[in-house]
Amino acid sequence: MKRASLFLLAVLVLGATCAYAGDPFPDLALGGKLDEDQRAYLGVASDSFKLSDIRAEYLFIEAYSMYCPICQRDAPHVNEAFEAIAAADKAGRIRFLGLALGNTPFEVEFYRKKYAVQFPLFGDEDYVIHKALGEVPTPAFYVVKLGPEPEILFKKVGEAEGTEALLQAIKEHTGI
Amino acid sequence: MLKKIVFTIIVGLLATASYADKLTIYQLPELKPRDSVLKVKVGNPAPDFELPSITGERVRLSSFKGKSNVVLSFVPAAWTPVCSDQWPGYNIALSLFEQHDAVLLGISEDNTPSQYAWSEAMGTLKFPVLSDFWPHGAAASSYGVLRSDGTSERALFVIDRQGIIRYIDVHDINRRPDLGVLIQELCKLKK
Repeated sequence: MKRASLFLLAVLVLGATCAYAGDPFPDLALGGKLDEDQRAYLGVASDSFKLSDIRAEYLFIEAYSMYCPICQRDAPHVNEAFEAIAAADKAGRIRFLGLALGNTPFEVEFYRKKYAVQFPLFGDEDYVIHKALGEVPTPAFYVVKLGPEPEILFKKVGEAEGTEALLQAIKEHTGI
Repeated sequence: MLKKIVFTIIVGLLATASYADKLTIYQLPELKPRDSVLKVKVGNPAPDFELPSITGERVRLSSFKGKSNVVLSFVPAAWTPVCSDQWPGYNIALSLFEQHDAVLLGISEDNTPSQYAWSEAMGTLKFPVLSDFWPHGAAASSYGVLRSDGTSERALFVIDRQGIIRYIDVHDINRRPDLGVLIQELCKLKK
């Protein structure tokens, strides 16, 4: 009986740690002020598009807020991960983007300048994205496989725990 | 043995969920958006007060008269959801306040030790955090933003160098004000 309980417990715990893998990621409608380089980076023709319109195999997504102290602390790590991947992924298989949950255009722009963020950031003034993501706390990091129905390969809620941890997650789930 | 394992796993999972390391938030239900009546309006002299800060000094509003503009940010309570991100947001945007010769003063009705612990958990706030704990809510009451449960409204007051109130936003307590709107109001102040 005790052995069976332990086995059940182990299954539950292992299941919990990878519970997100294979879950769908919402095909969000994204909009914002993108410059030409950012549109080219995402492979989209206009400033308003759906997540599945992005031309890449994978997305690395940070759901953050300008107001979240952990997101502020993590910003340099995410930037470093972006730079490392940009250097390694010449074929453009993965793209980075930030979803500024509950943030207005002013707040998105302030954060972009404050932390010199080079990848595209999208605001969420009316919390529509926040709701679509199940009101996830910030920061949350995702590796998503793109396709007609985007799929979560990795999700982590909470502190990034350094640049290497982010790079490891990307490498493990995309091979990049 | 099984109990120990279950306990260890539960503690581990809880630690993962409380991702904000030291910052544990007390969740609140949706509150009545507003629960007070303003006693001041734009164009009025700002009621003076002197309150203790978490750095041990006492801060008097009138000490800024003739020197700098002031933004008063009243927040309802330490360790609660919206307050715990509003001030960290202002904390990284202090340069925007400085560009408009404005000093930010944060005020809540909590006592100083609680404010200090909260500030440290949020990553050390670099603007004065003032306690309106005793006589309880006197400053908030003088502006008409003390709620019936002893907390304050989520309210912003922009006060110019002459000590005159130039902008008031008594916000829905459940929502965070847009920083952009506040900075626009600072832009309107005379240089």
